[in-house]
Amino acid sequence: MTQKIQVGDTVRDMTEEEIALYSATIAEAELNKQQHEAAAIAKAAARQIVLDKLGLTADEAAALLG
Amino acid sequence: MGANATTFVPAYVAGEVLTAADLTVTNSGIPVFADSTARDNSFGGTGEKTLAEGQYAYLESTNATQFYDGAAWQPVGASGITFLAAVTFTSQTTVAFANSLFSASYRNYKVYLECDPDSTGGSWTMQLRTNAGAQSAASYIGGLVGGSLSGTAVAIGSNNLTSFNLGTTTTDNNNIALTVFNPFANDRRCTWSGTMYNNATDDRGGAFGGTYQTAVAATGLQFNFANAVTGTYRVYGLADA
Repeated sequence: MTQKIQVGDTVRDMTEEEIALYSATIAEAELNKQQHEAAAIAKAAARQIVLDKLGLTADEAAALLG
Repeated sequence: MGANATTFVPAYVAGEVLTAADLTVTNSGIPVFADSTARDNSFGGTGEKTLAEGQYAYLESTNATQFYDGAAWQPVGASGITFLAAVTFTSQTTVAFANSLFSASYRNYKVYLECDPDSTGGSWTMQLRTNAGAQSAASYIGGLVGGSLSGTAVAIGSNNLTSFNLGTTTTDNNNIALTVFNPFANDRRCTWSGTMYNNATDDRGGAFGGTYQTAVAATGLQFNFANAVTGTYRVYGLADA
Protein backbone atom coordinates (compact mmCIF):
# COMPACT_ATOMS: atom_id res chain seq x y z
CA MET A 1 0.00 0.00 0.00
CA THR A 2 1.38 3.38 -0.94
CA GLN A 3 1.69 6.07 1.68
CA LYS A 4 0.06 9.39 0.84
CA ILE A 5 0.84 13.00 1.76
CA GLN A 6 -1.45 15.98 1.25
CA VAL A 7 0.47 19.18 0.41
CA GLY A 8 -1.95 22.06 0.26
CA ASP A 9 -4.91 20.69 -1.70
CA THR A 10 -2.84 18.09 -3.54
CA VAL A 11 -2.68 14.47 -2.42
CA ARG A 12 0.26 12.49 -3.82
CA ASP A 13 2.29 9.38 -3.08
CA MET A 14 5.11 9.88 -0.62
CA THR A 15 8.64 9.39 -1.81
CA GLU A 16 10.62 6.57 -0.21
CA GLU A 17 12.54 9.13 1.81
CA GLU A 18 9.31 10.74 3.04
CA ILE A 19 7.91 7.35 4.05
CA ALA A 20 11.08 6.56 6.00
CA LEU A 21 10.98 9.93 7.78
CA TYR A 22 7.26 9.63 8.56
CA SER A 23 7.68 6.10 9.96
CA ALA A 24 10.67 7.11 12.07
CA THR A 25 8.88 10.18 13.41
CA ILE A 26 5.74 8.29 14.43
CA ALA A 27 7.76 5.47 16.01
CA GLU A 28 9.82 8.02 17.92
CA ALA A 29 6.69 9.83 19.15
CA GLU A 30 5.13 6.61 20.39
CA LEU A 31 8.34 5.58 22.16
CA ASN A 32 8.55 9.05 23.68
CA LYS A 33 4.99 8.75 24.95
CA GLN A 34 5.68 5.31 26.46
CA GLN A 35 8.78 6.65 28.21
CA HIS A 36 6.80 9.52 29.71
CA GLU A 37 4.08 7.17 30.89
CA ALA A 38 6.64 4.79 32.41
CA ALA A 39 8.37 7.69 34.15
CA ALA A 40 5.06 8.91 35.58
CA ILE A 41 4.24 5.43 36.88
CA ALA A 42 7.69 5.07 38.44
CA LYS A 43 7.39 8.48 40.09
CA ALA A 44 3.97 7.60 41.52
CA ALA A 45 5.30 4.28 42.84
CA ALA A 46 8.28 5.99 44.51
CA ARG A 47 5.94 8.53 46.09
CA GLN A 48 3.70 5.76 47.41
CA ILE A 49 6.67 4.01 49.01
CA VAL A 50 7.49 7.20 50.94
CA LEU A 51 3.85 7.65 51.97
CA ASP A 52 3.71 4.08 53.19
CA LYS A 53 6.83 4.59 55.29
CA LEU A 54 5.29 7.71 56.82
CA GLY A 55 1.91 6.04 57.27
CA LEU A 56 0.13 8.83 55.40
CA THR A 57 -2.47 8.82 52.67
CA ALA A 58 -1.94 10.95 49.57
CA ASP A 59 -4.58 13.42 50.75
CA GLU A 60 -2.93 13.70 54.17
CA ALA A 61 0.44 14.32 52.58
CA ALA A 62 -1.05 17.00 50.33
CA ALA A 63 -2.69 18.69 53.31
CA LEU A 64 0.59 18.56 55.23
CA LEU A 65 2.79 19.91 52.44
CA GLY A 66 0.32 22.44 51.02
CA MET B 1 -2.68 36.12 -18.72
CA GLY B 2 -6.11 37.75 -18.42
CA ALA B 3 -7.66 40.26 -20.81
CA ASN B 4 -6.73 43.20 -18.58
CA ALA B 5 -3.18 42.09 -17.81
CA THR B 6 -0.35 44.28 -19.00
CA THR B 7 3.36 43.75 -19.51
CA PHE B 8 4.42 47.37 -19.19
CA VAL B 9 3.43 50.55 -17.37
CA PRO B 10 4.03 53.41 -19.81
CA ALA B 11 5.56 56.81 -19.29
CA TYR B 12 5.06 59.48 -21.94
CA VAL B 13 7.14 62.43 -23.09
CA ALA B 14 5.97 65.89 -24.06
CA GLY B 15 4.53 65.98 -27.55
CA GLU B 16 4.27 62.23 -27.88
CA VAL B 17 1.36 60.98 -30.03
CA LEU B 18 -0.62 58.44 -28.04
CA THR B 19 -2.24 55.39 -29.56
CA ALA B 20 -5.47 53.75 -28.50
CA ALA B 21 -3.41 51.01 -26.84
CA ASP B 22 -1.49 53.62 -24.85
CA LEU B 23 -4.73 55.14 -23.60
CA THR B 24 -6.23 51.75 -22.78
CA VAL B 25 -3.30 50.92 -20.55
CA THR B 26 -3.24 54.39 -19.05
CA ASN B 27 -6.93 54.28 -18.23
CA SER B 28 -6.90 50.77 -16.75
CA GLY B 29 -6.55 51.98 -13.17
CA ILE B 30 -4.47 49.62 -11.09
CA PRO B 31 -2.30 47.72 -13.59
CA VAL B 32 -2.98 44.00 -13.77
CA PHE B 33 -0.09 41.52 -14.08
CA ALA B 34 0.03 37.78 -14.56
CA ASP B 35 2.39 37.38 -11.62
CA SER B 36 5.12 39.14 -9.64
CA THR B 37 7.70 38.49 -12.36
CA ALA B 38 5.57 40.23 -14.98
CA ARG B 39 5.02 43.06 -12.50
CA ASP B 40 8.72 43.54 -11.85
CA ASN B 41 9.52 43.45 -15.57
CA SER B 42 6.98 46.19 -16.31
CA PHE B 43 8.78 49.07 -14.65
CA GLY B 44 11.99 50.89 -15.42
CA GLY B 45 12.45 49.82 -19.02
CA THR B 46 12.39 52.02 -22.12
CA GLY B 47 9.06 53.84 -22.25
CA GLU B 48 8.04 52.47 -18.83
CA LYS B 49 7.48 54.25 -15.55
CA THR B 50 10.15 54.13 -12.91
CA LEU B 51 8.86 52.14 -9.94
CA ALA B 52 8.32 54.46 -7.02
CA GLU B 53 6.49 54.67 -3.70
CA GLY B 54 2.72 54.64 -4.04
CA GLN B 55 2.52 52.43 -7.13
CA TYR B 56 -0.32 49.86 -7.05
CA ALA B 57 -0.51 46.47 -8.78
CA TYR B 58 -2.88 43.53 -9.03
CA LEU B 59 -1.51 39.97 -9.47
CA GLU B 60 -3.67 37.40 -11.23
CA SER B 61 -1.58 34.52 -9.85
CA THR B 62 -2.56 35.20 -6.24
CA ASN B 63 -5.57 37.53 -6.65
CA ALA B 64 -3.65 40.07 -4.58
CA THR B 65 -3.68 43.86 -4.69
CA GLN B 66 -0.39 45.40 -3.63
CA PHE B 67 1.29 48.76 -3.23
CA TYR B 68 4.99 49.67 -3.38
CA ASP B 69 6.28 51.36 -0.22
CA GLY B 70 9.55 52.50 -1.78
CA ALA B 71 11.41 49.34 -0.80
CA ALA B 72 9.06 46.39 -1.28
CA TRP B 73 5.58 45.40 -2.43
CA GLN B 74 3.06 45.28 0.41
CA PRO B 75 -0.44 43.80 0.53
CA VAL B 76 -3.28 46.28 0.33
CA GLY B 77 -5.84 46.08 3.05
CA ALA B 78 -3.69 44.02 5.37
CA SER B 79 -4.80 44.99 8.82
CA GLY B 80 -3.81 42.87 11.73
CA ILE B 81 -4.88 39.36 10.85
CA THR B 82 -5.12 38.25 7.21
CA PHE B 83 -6.70 35.02 6.04
CA LEU B 84 -4.29 32.93 3.95
CA ALA B 85 -5.74 29.45 3.52
CA ALA B 86 -8.40 26.96 4.55
CA VAL B 87 -7.74 23.37 3.52
CA THR B 88 -9.74 20.22 4.19
CA PHE B 89 -8.18 16.78 4.29
CA THR B 90 -9.85 13.38 4.23
CA SER B 91 -8.38 10.16 5.62
CA GLN B 92 -4.79 11.42 5.60
CA THR B 93 -1.83 10.51 7.81
CA THR B 94 0.43 13.36 6.63
CA VAL B 95 -0.91 16.85 6.06
CA ALA B 96 1.44 19.63 4.89
CA PHE B 97 0.86 23.28 4.11
CA ALA B 98 1.09 24.37 0.49
CA ASN B 99 4.51 25.67 -0.55
CA SER B 100 5.39 29.22 0.51
CA LEU B 101 2.38 29.71 2.76
CA PHE B 102 4.81 31.20 5.28
CA SER B 103 6.79 33.97 3.60
CA ALA B 104 8.41 37.34 4.16
CA SER B 105 4.95 38.94 4.05
CA TYR B 106 4.28 38.15 7.72
CA ARG B 107 6.52 37.49 10.69
CA ASN B 108 3.99 35.53 12.78
CA TYR B 109 1.06 33.27 11.92
CA LYS B 110 -2.06 31.81 13.52
CA VAL B 111 -3.02 28.24 12.72
CA TYR B 112 -6.28 26.50 13.64
CA LEU B 113 -6.54 22.77 13.03
CA GLU B 114 -9.51 20.50 13.70
CA CYS B 115 -9.54 16.79 13.00
CA ASP B 116 -11.20 13.49 13.84
CA PRO B 117 -9.54 10.08 13.55
CA ASP B 118 -11.21 7.85 10.97
CA SER B 119 -11.25 4.93 13.43
CA THR B 120 -8.86 5.05 16.35
CA GLY B 121 -6.59 7.77 17.64
CA GLY B 122 -2.82 7.67 17.77
CA SER B 123 0.34 9.69 18.06
CA TRP B 124 0.31 13.12 16.51
CA THR B 125 3.35 15.27 15.71
CA MET B 126 4.22 18.54 13.99
CA GLN B 127 7.24 19.62 11.95
CA LEU B 128 8.42 22.76 10.23
CA ARG B 129 8.60 22.48 6.50
CA THR B 130 10.41 24.16 3.61
CA ASN B 131 9.34 23.80 -0.01
CA ALA B 132 11.85 20.94 -0.18
CA GLY B 133 10.08 18.97 2.56
CA ALA B 134 9.71 18.43 6.30
CA GLN B 135 12.52 19.49 8.63
CA SER B 136 13.48 16.30 10.44
CA ALA B 137 16.65 17.09 12.37
CA ALA B 138 16.52 15.85 15.97
CA SER B 139 16.15 19.41 17.31
CA TYR B 140 12.54 19.80 18.31
CA ILE B 141 12.16 20.63 21.98
CA GLY B 142 9.29 21.75 24.17
CA GLY B 143 6.37 20.36 26.08
CA LEU B 144 2.67 19.87 26.45
CA VAL B 145 0.79 20.00 29.73
CA GLY B 146 -2.88 19.74 30.50
CA GLY B 147 -5.58 18.09 32.50
CA SER B 148 -8.64 15.93 32.10
CA LEU B 149 -12.14 16.50 33.43
CA SER B 150 -11.22 14.32 36.40
CA GLY B 151 -8.18 16.48 37.14
CA THR B 152 -5.66 13.94 35.96
CA ALA B 153 -2.53 15.67 34.72
CA VAL B 154 -1.41 15.07 31.17
CA ALA B 155 2.15 15.85 30.16
CA ILE B 156 4.54 14.96 27.38
CA GLY B 157 7.87 16.48 26.45
CA SER B 158 9.91 16.70 23.28
CA ASN B 159 13.64 16.57 23.98
CA ASN B 160 15.59 16.79 20.74
CA LEU B 161 13.08 14.75 18.76
CA THR B 162 12.69 14.72 14.99
CA SER B 163 9.23 16.29 15.38
CA PHE B 164 7.26 18.09 18.06
CA ASN B 165 5.12 15.61 19.96
CA LEU B 166 1.48 16.72 20.25
CA GLY B 167 0.45 13.62 22.19
CA THR B 168 -2.42 11.48 21.03
CA THR B 169 -5.47 12.16 18.91
CA THR B 170 -8.55 10.61 20.42
CA THR B 171 -12.12 9.78 19.59
CA ASP B 172 -13.26 13.07 18.08
CA ASN B 173 -13.09 16.83 18.20
CA ASN B 174 -9.33 17.19 18.37
CA ASN B 175 -8.28 20.77 17.84
CA ILE B 176 -5.32 23.06 18.27
CA ALA B 177 -5.03 26.85 18.11
CA LEU B 178 -1.42 27.71 17.43
CA THR B 179 0.73 30.81 17.03
CA VAL B 180 3.90 30.28 14.99
CA PHE B 181 6.55 32.89 15.64
CA ASN B 182 9.11 33.85 13.04
CA PRO B 183 8.98 30.75 10.83
CA PHE B 184 10.41 32.36 7.68
CA ALA B 185 12.68 35.27 8.62
CA ASN B 186 15.53 32.90 9.50
CA ASP B 187 17.05 35.49 11.84
CA ARG B 188 16.34 33.47 14.98
CA ARG B 189 14.76 30.16 15.91
CA CYS B 190 11.13 29.56 15.08
CA THR B 191 8.99 28.99 18.15
CA TRP B 192 5.34 28.14 18.64
CA SER B 193 2.80 28.00 21.41
CA GLY B 194 -0.84 27.14 21.60
CA THR B 195 -3.73 25.37 23.20
CA MET B 196 -5.42 22.11 22.39
CA TYR B 197 -8.43 20.02 23.25
CA ASN B 198 -9.61 16.55 22.47
CA ASN B 199 -12.83 14.88 23.32
CA ALA B 200 -11.56 11.61 24.68
CA THR B 201 -13.45 9.83 27.41
CA ASP B 202 -11.82 12.19 29.88
CA ASP B 203 -12.03 15.42 27.83
CA ARG B 204 -8.50 16.75 27.91
CA GLY B 205 -7.49 20.37 27.49
CA GLY B 206 -3.96 21.67 27.54
CA ALA B 207 -1.29 24.07 26.41
CA PHE B 208 1.97 23.50 24.61
CA GLY B 209 5.03 25.32 23.31
CA GLY B 210 8.21 24.45 21.54
CA THR B 211 10.99 25.37 19.18
CA TYR B 212 13.17 23.98 16.43
CA GLN B 213 16.76 24.55 17.46
CA THR B 214 17.95 25.29 13.97
CA ALA B 215 17.33 28.58 12.20
CA VAL B 216 15.53 27.71 8.97
CA ALA B 217 13.37 29.66 6.55
CA ALA B 218 10.26 27.55 7.04
CA THR B 219 7.49 27.95 4.48
CA GLY B 220 4.88 25.88 6.31
CA LEU B 221 4.03 23.16 8.79
CA GLN B 222 3.51 19.43 8.46
CA PHE B 223 1.34 17.31 10.74
CA ASN B 224 1.99 13.59 11.04
CA PHE B 225 -0.64 11.18 12.38
CA ALA B 226 -0.14 7.54 13.31
CA ASN B 227 -3.68 6.82 12.10
CA ALA B 228 -5.69 8.52 9.36
CA VAL B 229 -7.65 11.63 10.22
CA THR B 230 -10.16 13.89 8.51
CA GLY B 231 -10.33 17.60 9.18
CA THR B 232 -9.55 21.18 8.24
CA TYR B 233 -6.79 23.69 8.92
CA ARG B 234 -6.88 27.44 8.56
CA VAL B 235 -3.87 29.76 8.41
CA TYR B 236 -3.72 33.52 8.99
CA GLY B 237 -0.86 35.97 8.63
CA LEU B 238 -0.33 38.54 11.38
CA ALA B 239 0.58 42.01 10.11
CA ASP B 240 1.80 44.92 12.21
CA ALA B 241 -0.85 47.25 10.83
